[in-house]
Amino acid sequence: MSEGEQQVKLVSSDNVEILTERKIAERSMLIKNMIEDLGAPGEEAIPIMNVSEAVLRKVLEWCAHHKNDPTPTQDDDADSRKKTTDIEDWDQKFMQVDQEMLFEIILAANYMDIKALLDVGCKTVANMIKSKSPEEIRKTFNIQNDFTPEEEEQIRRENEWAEDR
Amino acid sequence: MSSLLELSHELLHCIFCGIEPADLSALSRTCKDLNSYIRGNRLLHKDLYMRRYDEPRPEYGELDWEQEIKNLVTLEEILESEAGRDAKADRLGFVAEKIERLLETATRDHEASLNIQRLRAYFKHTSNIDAFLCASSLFERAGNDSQTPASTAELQQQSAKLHCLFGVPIDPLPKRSSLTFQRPNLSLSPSSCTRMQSRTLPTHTYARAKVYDLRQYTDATLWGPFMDDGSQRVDWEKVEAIMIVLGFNLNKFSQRSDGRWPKVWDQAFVGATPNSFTSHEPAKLAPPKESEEESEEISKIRELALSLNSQDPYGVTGTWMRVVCFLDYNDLYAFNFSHRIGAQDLRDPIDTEEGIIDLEESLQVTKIEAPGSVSEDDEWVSVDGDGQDWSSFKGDRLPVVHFRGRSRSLHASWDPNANSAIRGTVRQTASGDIRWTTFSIFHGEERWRSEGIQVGGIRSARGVLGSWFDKDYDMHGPAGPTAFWKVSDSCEDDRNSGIPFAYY
Repeated sequence: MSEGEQQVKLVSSDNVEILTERKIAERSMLIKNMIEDLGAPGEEAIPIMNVSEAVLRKVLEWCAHHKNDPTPTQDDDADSRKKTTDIEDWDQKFMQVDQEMLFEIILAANYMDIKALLDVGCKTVANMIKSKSPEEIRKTFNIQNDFTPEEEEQIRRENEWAEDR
Repeated sequence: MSSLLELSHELLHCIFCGIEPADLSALSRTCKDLNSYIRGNRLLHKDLYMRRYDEPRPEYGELDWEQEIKNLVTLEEILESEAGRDAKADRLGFVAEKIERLLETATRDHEASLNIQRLRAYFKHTSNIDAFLCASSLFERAGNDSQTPASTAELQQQSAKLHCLFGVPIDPLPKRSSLTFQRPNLSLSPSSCTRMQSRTLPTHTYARAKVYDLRQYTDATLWGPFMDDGSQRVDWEKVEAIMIVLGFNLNKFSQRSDGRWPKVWDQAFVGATPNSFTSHEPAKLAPPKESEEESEEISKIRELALSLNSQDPYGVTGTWMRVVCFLDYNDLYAFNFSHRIGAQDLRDPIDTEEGIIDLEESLQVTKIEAPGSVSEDDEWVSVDGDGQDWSSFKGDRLPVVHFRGRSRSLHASWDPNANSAIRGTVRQTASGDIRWTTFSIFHGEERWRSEGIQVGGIRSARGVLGSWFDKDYDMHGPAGPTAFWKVSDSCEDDRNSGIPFAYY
């Protein structure tokens, strides 16, 4: 059995064991580093402390789909600054989840150090903000308007440069 | 329960880097948390700036990114708006200032420049062209009905400058069916006559009437494209007229040459940025011919030339193309002196066919002098300074660079005005513009002089626009428009002999 086909055992924050291919799990730099530290993969379960079973399964689904992606280099990173906020089709469908799951995925991707998944999550949220009025943004993200009418007027005036929304 | 507001600032940053600058305003108006996160968030504004625009060169230092973003959001909203020409025209001053800045800070490679791509897309819209590029005083008479001058002389200058930076002369053919040139009816008063005629004539006829009006060649304008007050500030309306006339002639010339003479000035904003010139040939002097040993003297000269080149901030040494246009002297004389008009009256538009000369010039630096050095060629400035007000100048002043070279006709070699020696200087004016002075020398005698301004700033690919005239300032002319732009860092002459040609 090659290294990639080895099975590893992950444990979610709610104590559920999940078996997965090592190659899939190693999309997470957190897990990759832990496996390297542990030395004997497959025997010992790896605790993923901040991520619940449901979210972990979802994250692993993404990792399975992207398990053969090339590892991003430093150059790609610098280049991505100029890139648009395009998201590939599969990822877009993958991200069609309720908002709570969306933010959980972002938090998990951040904690598990999966840069590409974090990017997709952040772009998805960014696209939900684009070209919206303040009221539309509040509605989308269930944000309470906590400005007094005076404050609101003041801020509106400060932002007159982008008035016509 | 996870929600947007519960995310760490680090994650908010990741998310907000994916929105557009224009979304920041709405976002900061949603609630206090997001407002205080966004306001004064230098890093977020900087990252958004870098994603959308070219990263300014290090010499610009740390900018006020929040203010920059606000300005550029406003600029893009104006350029994007469907408001139409009139509503846009009110914002000319702001728009011109911000576009100049976007060009100044653009990446030198125009194909990689986000700023230039963005501006080019906006200036495909007629309302932007009409409101911002066609609002100099030239459009009092020229242009179509939606091209009219801005309200103040300063705004008219800003529009003319923007037109020059845009670089593709806006000179559409008249829409009406009467394409034949109509002589103005002289029985009418000059103003009503021009008003009635104006909208049927192409813009270049008015530009030509300005360029060949010898009244604007005076000591106060340095006989070049400068203001009529001795300040050496650029008169962008003169530069604009020169660009339109030369653009018209070059275009016609290119059409008649069956493509042997490539089209120039057809790409908006390209080359109108500092340092945008890049040479396709490496900058080096040719090695000595193998057959002969290089004498010590010549190798010293070569070293000196290389060291001068490395100190020259303007990138003089190399091969340049120059175009010179002229009216037949009888036409020029008749146009200027056949009838008397009031000092403030404009001359009637003319479509008289001009002559055109294309030259290839090899230039090389010969001397570099400290900033502010007064050259003996500037007769009109006082001995105790260069006559300019330097009080508002910012940054390091650039030296005065002297050069020499040769000029070769690209048409017929029998043309007596074609082949000559050249000398000149390039310097920076108190407003930061790059001013070029050249002299054409025939058989050891200086004959023609030119004064010009480099459009797009130092080392721009666009090159220099200006005027040529008799070096003794003959008020009866001749005089006309000229332009030159660099094509290579290496000199034609280098290839023919191992010796730097300025030695001769």
